[in-house]
Order: sequence, then structure tokens, then C-alpha cells
Amino acid sequence: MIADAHRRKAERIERTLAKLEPTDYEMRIDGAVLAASHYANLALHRLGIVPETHDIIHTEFLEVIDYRRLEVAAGVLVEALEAIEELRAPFVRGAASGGAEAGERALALLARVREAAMKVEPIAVALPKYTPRK
Amino acid sequence: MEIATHREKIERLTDLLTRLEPVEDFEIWMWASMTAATNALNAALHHLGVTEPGKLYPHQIPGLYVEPQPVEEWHWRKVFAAPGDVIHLGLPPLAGTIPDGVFEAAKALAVIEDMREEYVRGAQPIGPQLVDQCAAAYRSCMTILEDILAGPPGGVS
Repeated sequence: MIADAHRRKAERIERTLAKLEPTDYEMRIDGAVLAASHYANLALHRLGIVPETHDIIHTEFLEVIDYRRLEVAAGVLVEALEAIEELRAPFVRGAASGGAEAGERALALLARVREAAMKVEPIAVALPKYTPRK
Repeated sequence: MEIATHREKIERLTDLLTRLEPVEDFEIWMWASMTAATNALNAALHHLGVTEPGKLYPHQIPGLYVEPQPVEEWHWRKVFAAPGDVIHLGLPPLAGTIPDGVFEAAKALAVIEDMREEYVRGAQPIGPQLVDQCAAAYRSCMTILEDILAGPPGGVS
């Protein structure tokens, strides 16, 4: 999906997130993950690390080589996105105490992801395609 | 999680569904439906004795669970564990017999889950027909699972 389509989709999800209450923390967290993943894809495409023909769902599904490149190019984004993901097991699929605070944290982290994604510029050098010899 | 905890989550998610506009808010609306249905699926599996309501919470990487208490602020220890709650039917795989009703419910849940790629992670147009399809699958899934939960517990080996 093209970078601008990811931005529009993320913004659409964020409009819904603005309607949620603190007690809706599961969807604040998962919605933040969804919007942040669109921003991450936007960044990956704009940086030139991953082509627009290929989107990622979670950072775990990135090839390690591309993950390392993203960490260098947009470390704040990776850190914030993974911090949102960290909230899913205890608060969305689990019942850890402090769900409302976790929901607030997810929204704050999403803002960091958005800010970092909107700042990225294409990597100035051609990234070598590297496949290890077997 | 205990059945009562799944039910409490279902109640809050169901309340949220009534506050959202299904077309305009589709992404979160369908996700809330899917999450409520997954909670009902886990509750039904516990009720039937297929899975135990364990103390660990499932991670998105199948086979990994997290402990309920954080090891430091906003960090939880990840461990390998046998299925308590599942994230989808078959993730992780379950031992023992799965009753037909659960399969039927999971089939309806899969209709909702399959909408994620095109309409949530992708940008295919969202309209009333899609909403109706999602709502019908949700109703069907929840009806089956509520029936299971209203029936006798256990009985599956």
C-alpha cells in the first residue's frame, strides 16, 4: 500500500480512537497498534527499506536485516511501536491491573510513532540487497 | 483468564460497539467485535474443559505467554506455556476433542478475522454491506458461544 494511503488509514483510526473512553482501554491499545503499524509501514516505504508492494503487520515479521535498518533510521518509532505491542498481552488478552493507564500510555506512544514517521526522509544511499550464501 | 473476566471484557466491548458508528469507525468496531468474540470463545473452551483458565496471558507469538505481574515498569516476563487462552482457534493448537459448536463459532469468527487484511490493514472501501456481513458473523458466533456457556460445563476429554 502506498505511504499516503497508510497515513490516511492511520488518521481514520485515530479519529475513532478520539471517541474512546478510558474504560475502552483494550481498543485504545489495539487501535494504537493498528494506527502505529500504518505509520511504521509509511516510514518503511518512505525510507526505501520495504517496497510499497509489501506491508508488515508486526515488527517481528520484518526480516532481521530490515529491522536493523529501521532501528537505525527511525529508532524512536521502533521503540514506541514495540512499547505499544508490549501492552497487548497483559491488558488486551489479559487482565493486568491498570488498564486505563495502559490505554493512556498507548495513545501517548502512538503520538511518538506518528511524529517519528512523519519526519523520515528516504535513505540517501542505495540499500544493497543481501542474501547470505548457503 | 477466568470465565468471569472474559465476561467482564465482553460486557465493556459490547457497550463500546453501541457507541461507535459502524461504517465511520469500522476498523475499531470490527476489532472490538472480534475481541469480544475471542473472549467468548476462550470462555466457552474453559467452560467445556478443553482449556484451563490459566494465570498467564497469551502473547501474539503463538506458544508464548506473559506473566501477570510486571518485572519492571511496563515490562512483563515472557514464558513458554501450554494453552490457557488462545488468540485464535488453533493458535496455539489444542489437545483433545473440540466440540462441533465451537468449530461453528470459530468459523463465524473467522469471517470477521478475515476482514482485517483488506479493510483494516489494507484500504479497501468500507460500506454498509461489509458492516452487515460483520454484524451477522458476530451475532452467529456469540449466539453459539452463549448457548455453550449456558449449558452444562465440562464433558469434553
